[in-house]
Amino acid sequence: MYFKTLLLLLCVLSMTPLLVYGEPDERNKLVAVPDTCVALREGRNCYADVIINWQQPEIGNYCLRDATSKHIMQCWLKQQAGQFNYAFDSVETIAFELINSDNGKIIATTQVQLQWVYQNRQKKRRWRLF
Amino acid sequence: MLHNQLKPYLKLLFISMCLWCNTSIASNRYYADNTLEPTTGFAWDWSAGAGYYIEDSFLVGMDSYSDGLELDLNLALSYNRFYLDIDHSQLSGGVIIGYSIIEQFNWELDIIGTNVQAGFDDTGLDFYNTGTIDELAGIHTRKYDFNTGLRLARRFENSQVSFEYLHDISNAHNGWIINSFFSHILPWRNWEFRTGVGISAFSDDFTNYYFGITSDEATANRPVYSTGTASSLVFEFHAEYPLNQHWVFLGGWLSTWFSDEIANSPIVSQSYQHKAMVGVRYVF
Repeated sequence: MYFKTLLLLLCVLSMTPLLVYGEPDERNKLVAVPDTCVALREGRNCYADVIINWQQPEIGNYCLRDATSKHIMQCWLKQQAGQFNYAFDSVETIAFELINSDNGKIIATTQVQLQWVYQNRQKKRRWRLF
Repeated sequence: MLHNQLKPYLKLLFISMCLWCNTSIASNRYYADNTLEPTTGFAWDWSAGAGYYIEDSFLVGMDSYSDGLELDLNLALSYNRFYLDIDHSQLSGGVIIGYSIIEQFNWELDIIGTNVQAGFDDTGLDFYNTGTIDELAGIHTRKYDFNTGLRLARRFENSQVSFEYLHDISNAHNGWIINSFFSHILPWRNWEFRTGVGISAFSDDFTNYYFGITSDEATANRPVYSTGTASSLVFEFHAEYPLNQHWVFLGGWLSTWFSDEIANSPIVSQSYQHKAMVGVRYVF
């Protein structure tokens, strides 16, 4: 009985990968791993140690920034590749941009998506008696 | 035997659960995030999983460290103010049907129906055990009870305190039960820790039905036993961690300590019971 239960469990487990990692995209030269952060409940902050890698065909001056706030996270001078360790701590998906710091042009984008397991149901608070 | 008959249905239910998709939220009547409050119209959600448990049972003759796998099936149905909640996600869970009478300013008053005490016979408390336990041989069957009553709960942000007055309507023990429970949910990074402590009181009818020994059950090693109202203290701790959008790891610990009226019964081997479990759950 236990064996069959375990077998069913493993069958279901195999339907979904337990670890969520980003698929490297050769065309996108900016990659975040993992690219998904899963919180237990909707509306709660999610935490993950994210490694952001970038690579370019030419040596140059590049900066990594938050795509929404445009806050510069790190810049590299005369580099062709770089890595940034990012402590993800957010209640929403965060997108990143790699820009050429000489002309401000956006070269590549990536994002860390936020997911949750339990969806919050809108609570209806009202006075009710029968 | 019963399990063998149910096996195909359980398998079908489990597979159909795998193929169905629905949003889900956690539910346990003892915790502040339970979903037993009124919602407009029909609403439902479910989750399923399995876990490994280890248990230190309080009945005489039972393996003091039994272990095994058990299914973790949860189903919450509600229609306006009526609800049915089958919750095994936490060790304090169970089956409850209810009707929400009042809900205002985080106070809730419900009429509920629920099982409190598992039945047992000379095979013990283990549902799958069919062999007679020598120390329990000759005792009458104690039925599962079904109790109805009122539940008053007050929610705070992550905490809840609740009181229940229940009375058996299944003609098992025909007694009353009073439950009080305080719980707190503590998030830490992506983890969620849930702790709760409860005190319960049981009428003498309840205590004597389950733990008393009548003259026709008495043996040389099992004297007649009659007692009064009893109480118990419950502590539980759970941890949940999201493995991905649908899979959750969970671990839990439940300890129950019984008052002397139960602990001194000839069919009770110790004044406490511990249960621990680890498992995974698929949330639809």
